[in-house]
Amino acid sequence: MIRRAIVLITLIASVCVLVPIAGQRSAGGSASTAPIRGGRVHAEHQPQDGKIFVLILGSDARSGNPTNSRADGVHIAGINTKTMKGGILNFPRDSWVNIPGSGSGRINEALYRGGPELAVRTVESLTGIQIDYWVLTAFEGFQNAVSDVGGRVPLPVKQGMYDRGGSGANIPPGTKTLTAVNSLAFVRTRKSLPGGDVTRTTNHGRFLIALLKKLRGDIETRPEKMFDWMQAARKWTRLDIPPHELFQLGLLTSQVKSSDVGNVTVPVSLGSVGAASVVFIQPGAQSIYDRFKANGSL
Amino acid sequence: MTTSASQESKSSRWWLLVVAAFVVGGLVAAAVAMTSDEEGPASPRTPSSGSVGDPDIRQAKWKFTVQRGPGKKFSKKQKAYFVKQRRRLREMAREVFDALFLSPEKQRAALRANFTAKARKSYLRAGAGLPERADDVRVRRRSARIVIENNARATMDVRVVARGKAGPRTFATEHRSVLYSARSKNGWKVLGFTVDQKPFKRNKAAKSDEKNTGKDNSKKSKKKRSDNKNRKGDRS
Repeated sequence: MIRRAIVLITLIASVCVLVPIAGQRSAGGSASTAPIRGGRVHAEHQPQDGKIFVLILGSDARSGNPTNSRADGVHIAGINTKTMKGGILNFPRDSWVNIPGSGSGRINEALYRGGPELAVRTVESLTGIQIDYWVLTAFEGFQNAVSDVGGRVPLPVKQGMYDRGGSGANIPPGTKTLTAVNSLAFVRTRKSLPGGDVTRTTNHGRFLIALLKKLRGDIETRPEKMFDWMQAARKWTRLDIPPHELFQLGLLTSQVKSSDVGNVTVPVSLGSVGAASVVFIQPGAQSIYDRFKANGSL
Repeated sequence: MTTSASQESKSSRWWLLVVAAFVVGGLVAAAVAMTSDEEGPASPRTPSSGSVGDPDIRQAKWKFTVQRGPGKKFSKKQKAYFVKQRRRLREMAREVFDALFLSPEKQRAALRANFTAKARKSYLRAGAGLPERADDVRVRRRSARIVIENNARATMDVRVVARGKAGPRTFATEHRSVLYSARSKNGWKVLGFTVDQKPFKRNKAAKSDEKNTGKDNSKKSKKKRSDNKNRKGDRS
């Protein structure tokens, strides 16, 4: 009886050990061809034929919740994953637009009225471009994020910026390496610029391109810097991008040369609605939207 | 009588138990050995496993530096997991680059096991590795700097210096690949990469032949060389 039991135990043990091995062998064959989202970002979100669009929002919140404030920076960043070219489309904050479900208003109010989701819907209804992700940051987050990625952003400053009372900028013209504090001052300054807010909006795009250049330079020498950038993005911005997709998006972004990224501000004309001073987006902007939507680059 | 019979049966039970324990132990050991083989080639490939390296040539040892990416401090469990991932990534580097430089016939299999389909195709197109008809390959330097972030994503900066013969000529190549990997259900997979491989050096005889052919030809060859100076691959 006991002999039989021992023989039985031995047999069961053999089966228990051998079956998983066989299973692993067969699984090993299929694992090599298992589909994973290699190289592509957001596979299920690619109805736009390899084009990815991210809405970048810069809130004017000095501290605290950035969604309770208005978005002084509204930009669509696009990447064409086939041509590896990109573009940044900038919207002046006072652009008078239709805010879905909330009447008309300045584009910066969409964030205040309905958070980043409403800002996304507003931009989508305005341009016809489907936004894949959004990113939101504010003063504090912006400065800390720049600081966390090294804090030295080389950028050609075309016009000197002196706004000690407002943004605190004191940046003479020329190619400068901006610190985190100066970077914030650079993107905030509008009063000392001839074009005012429209020029500032264009400067936002220029700064983003300078950041891209810095990212490429960083990871060329030390690839692991990619994780510092991801960490800074996760820590200091609000975004709806899961970590694994952020990694892939970072990889894709790092492939795009800064010289292949266009920076375009929508054409606007000054006007007023009631007592409010606004800008109206000119009809010519539609062709820019169409081009951006079709190519993913500008 | 009954006591002696029961004692006999007890002693035979002991023997059977010992035999059963040995059998089970042996099977478990075999299973462990087989599964560790399945996970990847743990041991570095010696030239004897490939077709281009002379088994007598001593290859440089792998030098690995593994770091943790930015983030919160690890718990004990996470640390143990990190050690496990570290081992796997080392194995991945060994498998891919030993195949690339010492066993070209294993190159496709190694890439298939460790790269996503898109990344693999792109990497093959980049043309990294040995020239055609390479033989007597001697790897002079192999190093990899691996950084693992959150036990889920990793960058791998691999540098290989190799020399060898390609037909009548000798070559020396310096290769640098940066592999960006992420962990999925099927283990670590390379999602993207950059490749930079410096040109092969020509031997003195070939250079003197070129000089004799005249200025025009040398100009052309210079131009060609400058075109092929840096073979950079795209990332998928």
